[in-house]
Amino acid sequence: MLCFCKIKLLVLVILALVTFSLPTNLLAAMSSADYYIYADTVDTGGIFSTGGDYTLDSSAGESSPAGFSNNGTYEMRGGYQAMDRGYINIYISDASLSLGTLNAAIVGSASTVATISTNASTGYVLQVGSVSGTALASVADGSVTAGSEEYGVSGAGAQNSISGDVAVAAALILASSTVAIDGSATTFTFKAAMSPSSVAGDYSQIVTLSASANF
Amino acid sequence: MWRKILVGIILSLLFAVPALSFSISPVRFFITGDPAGIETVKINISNTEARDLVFRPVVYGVRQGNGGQPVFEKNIDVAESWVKPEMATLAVASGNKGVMRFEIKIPRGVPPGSHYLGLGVEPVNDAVGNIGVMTRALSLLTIQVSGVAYEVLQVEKFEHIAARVGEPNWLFDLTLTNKGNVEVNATGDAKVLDWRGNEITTQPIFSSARIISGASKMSDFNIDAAGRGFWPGLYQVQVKVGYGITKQNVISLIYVWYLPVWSLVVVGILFLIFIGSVVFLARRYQMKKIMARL
Repeated sequence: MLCFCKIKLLVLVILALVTFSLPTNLLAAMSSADYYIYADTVDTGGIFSTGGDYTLDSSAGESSPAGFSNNGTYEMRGGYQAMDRGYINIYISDASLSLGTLNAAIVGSASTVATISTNASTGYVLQVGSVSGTALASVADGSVTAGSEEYGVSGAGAQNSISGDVAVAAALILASSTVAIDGSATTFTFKAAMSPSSVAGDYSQIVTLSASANF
Repeated sequence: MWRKILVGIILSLLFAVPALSFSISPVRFFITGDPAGIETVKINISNTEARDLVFRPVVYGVRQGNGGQPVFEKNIDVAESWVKPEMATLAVASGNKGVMRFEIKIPRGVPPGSHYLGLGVEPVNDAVGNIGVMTRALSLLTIQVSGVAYEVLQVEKFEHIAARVGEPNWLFDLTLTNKGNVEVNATGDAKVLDWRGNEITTQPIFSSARIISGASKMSDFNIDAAGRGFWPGLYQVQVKVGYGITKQNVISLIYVWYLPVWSLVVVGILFLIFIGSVVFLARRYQMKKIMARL
């Protein structure tokens, strides 16, 4: 038969075990060899609502996102803030391009390589986000030709979306993929040519390349 | 003239900034919020460049391009004004990570539905006085304002593009528009039926295509009538698109005449044979009448 002090000791031990077995930070990422919980949540309340054919069991006081999952037929968006935890990396080999001094007999050109890596299941799209500065007349016939005042860009690579020489303009789709991809490299060549009647001067541009996942 | 050519034109794209490399995560956010509610999202930045970089936050509206891809533009979604970056710039040392936070405040009285934004960062141009190729990485943000959501997908256009009725490869122009207030996933099939309505063949057009609210999806597809051994005649081509969580379907039907060249030749020959037979019989009848008179 256990005495009162032994029972008290046993209760204390159990309490200590329970206390120290709880995670010290409930909002931290947790992992083991077989799983990784990127973001978990603790909420402080919520209500159960009904409206005709639908019911909603809501939560309140949530302090972190909870992610989403699907099986092809159903999609669960845990909490009220869900995310696709993927990443996208953009690498530009050369952000400093010089087309040199032009004359009517040549086409000035310079290239840079844009490399995109992403684990987004929908792939990526690389586009011209914005263009500012001054430039020669945009190419309109698909080819920058010596002797004609034209300025444009062409692309080369498996994910290249440009055909021929095209005008450098905002929202121009440069490259894309519909699947996750590692090291998708596309070479973009900027070209300019002048005509004998072109106005002499310095021309310059800022071209911003914008990378994102697809919808 | 030669002086002008010699002076030439200097067109340069940046002189100072070398390579640029960085990552952001996550690539997509979904937020469901109440009007007057406040949410905060964070974008993790990895500086994978060999030098320190300073990033500034960017917020864009998103529309869907003809190919279904996101296109980022300013002043196209009212929700752009709901987002406030918590800092103007963020310095991230080479090989290190940083976090850019954005506060999203949904105004009171906003009707339910989805809004689409691009939140991201771009390195601040550190080449003073120069210009060049800059980079920007964006995360797609869908803000769903709570309330009644409805899914409506309409066929705006479904046409047979044909130079002539005997074209062996049928080309179709299909445009769908999302008239609902939320995005939908859509899967489309094209079915060919004979003139009596019996199904001959079915082929997929697209699968799990995401169409955001207000966007149109243009989808051209073809049916190889000659390759499938279709007989000349009148056919029905039916497009059926299933969409949304509500599992709805939208159906459109058009008629296509298929008269390949060889069938026209056969018809022509038969017609000539018919005419020849009529002429022959008429002459024979005339001859018989003449012979009878004699």
